[in-house]
Amino acid sequence: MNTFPTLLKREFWEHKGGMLWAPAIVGGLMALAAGVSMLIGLYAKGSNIRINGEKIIADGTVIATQTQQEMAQGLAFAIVPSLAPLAAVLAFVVLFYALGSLYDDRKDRSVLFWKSMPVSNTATVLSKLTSMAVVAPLLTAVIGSVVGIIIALLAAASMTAFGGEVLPKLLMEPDFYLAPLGVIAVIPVYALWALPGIAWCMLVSAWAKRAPFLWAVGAPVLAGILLSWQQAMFDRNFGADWFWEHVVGRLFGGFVPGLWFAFGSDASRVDSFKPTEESVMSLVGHSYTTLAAPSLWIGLIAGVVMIAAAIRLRRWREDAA
Amino acid sequence: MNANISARGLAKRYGKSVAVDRIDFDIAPGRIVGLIGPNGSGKTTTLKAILGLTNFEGDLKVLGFDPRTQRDALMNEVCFIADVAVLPRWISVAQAIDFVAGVHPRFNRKKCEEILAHTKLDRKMKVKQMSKGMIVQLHLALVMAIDAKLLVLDEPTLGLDILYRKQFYKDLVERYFDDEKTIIVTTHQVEEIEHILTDLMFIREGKLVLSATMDEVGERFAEIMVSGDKLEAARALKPIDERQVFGKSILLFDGVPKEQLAALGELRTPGVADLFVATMKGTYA
Repeated sequence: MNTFPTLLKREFWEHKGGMLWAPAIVGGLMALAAGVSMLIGLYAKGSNIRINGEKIIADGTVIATQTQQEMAQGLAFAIVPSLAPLAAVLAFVVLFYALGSLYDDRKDRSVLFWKSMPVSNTATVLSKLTSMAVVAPLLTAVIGSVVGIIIALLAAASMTAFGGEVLPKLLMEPDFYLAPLGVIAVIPVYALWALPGIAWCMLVSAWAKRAPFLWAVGAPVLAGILLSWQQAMFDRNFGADWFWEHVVGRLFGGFVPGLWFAFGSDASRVDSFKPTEESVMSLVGHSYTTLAAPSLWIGLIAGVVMIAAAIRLRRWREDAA
Repeated sequence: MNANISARGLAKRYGKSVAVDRIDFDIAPGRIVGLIGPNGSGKTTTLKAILGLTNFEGDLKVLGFDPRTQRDALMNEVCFIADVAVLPRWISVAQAIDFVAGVHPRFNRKKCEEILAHTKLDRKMKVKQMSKGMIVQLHLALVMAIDAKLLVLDEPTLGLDILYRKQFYKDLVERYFDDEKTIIVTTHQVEEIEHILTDLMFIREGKLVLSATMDEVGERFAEIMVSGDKLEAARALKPIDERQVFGKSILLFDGVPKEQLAALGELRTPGVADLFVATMKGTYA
């Protein structure tokens, strides 16, 4: 007997498609696309490669070592932002996971099977939350690290194909090795920023008799539209802008990894960030600085309350949906 | 009596309509109880109350626990099949076994695999590929491998063909039941389970109209087949039901001495189904 790990395994079995296959397939396509475009690039203008307007090889002559060094640094750093498509996949997977989490099994009545087992509703709800906030991002981070490394290696290799030392320099870059660690290191930051949105969707999922998506997304958006409309009608401030930014924006923005820079306090914004001068680790550091934002903690309190409400609903909601 | 389940004034209202109307009953260990009632009579609500799936009024103790506040502890000792085909569609046989083994302290994996070996299910098969009958086989194998003190079956064989239904109850009695356990079963196919029941509870419009052991039922109720000339004499004893078969009348009596009845015609023990129909007369009228 091993209840919580079993519950996490259960979640993985059910959501393998979203947690594993979706990022794996998108990641695979990204690596493939990168590989193909490098090949085409090499073939088309082998002797005149430009990256960000800088000539790598001009008329067969290799550019300056200093520039090669910057290229290697840029490539190593670019591992993180190159994972944006995977971040988008994660956001969608977690959003729809949360919306179905306490609804789907009521709809197909299999909730009666789960409830026939000696598992508390608290354990059930927390296992789903953990799966979304930690396990799914972790799988995406691991897949993303592999994909990012492959893309960086492909780019460096294609630059090195005609001479120069970008590839060996890339392998000497600390960021090349730190990037995967960095991606994994920010998972707690993701979990904390995503929690209110996940909790809200789980609450609606536990409550809705039908169409949890419409309730979870429709209700806040409709409220925002009504506020904005009132504001326009009566030309007075009803707090519509605040509502859009701090309620709608936070609820759904939190699903997207990295969007925390937009929510954090001004000091931690990374507008002034310079890839060539700072390491991936300082990006991780900046991510953790956003945890100082009071709005994060207010959101967390709201999230905990919503999770508690979802557990209660799960316990007493009688009929299958 | 050391009751496994004991209810006093158990009641449940949905808005203004009363689903269960202050009922009292006790169920001892080692019994197989048939809870029989028409649609909407409060059967499922009663079972849901026992399983802690719904709130209720009154007192109810299941294995010494209050299902409202001590459900988590109760579920270690209780198992139920709430409906046919409620296993999640995505789960495979192997995953279902791993899951129950991972969360249930009283699950015996070996026993489950032995039971499954008698079916056509293989470990990789997913629920969505199974027929309704196979899903029930899997569910029953999982449940029978759990050494629970109380097993609740709510219409477990609805929609199954007769082969699966017979096998289901056969397995249940031969491989699962013993005198420590209690089984409560509801079904509309009364004839098929009457030979395994030890107790009978009839529920109608939220009230228990009959709660007795099968022996008591056999003593209390009797049926006679009467030919025309003795019909008036038999009717004078106030039968609770009368029906015609091949030109003869069959009269059902409650609490009339057997010797008195035997003089009037051929004496028989009534079937639960006939008893049920007689008791529930006018339910839908």
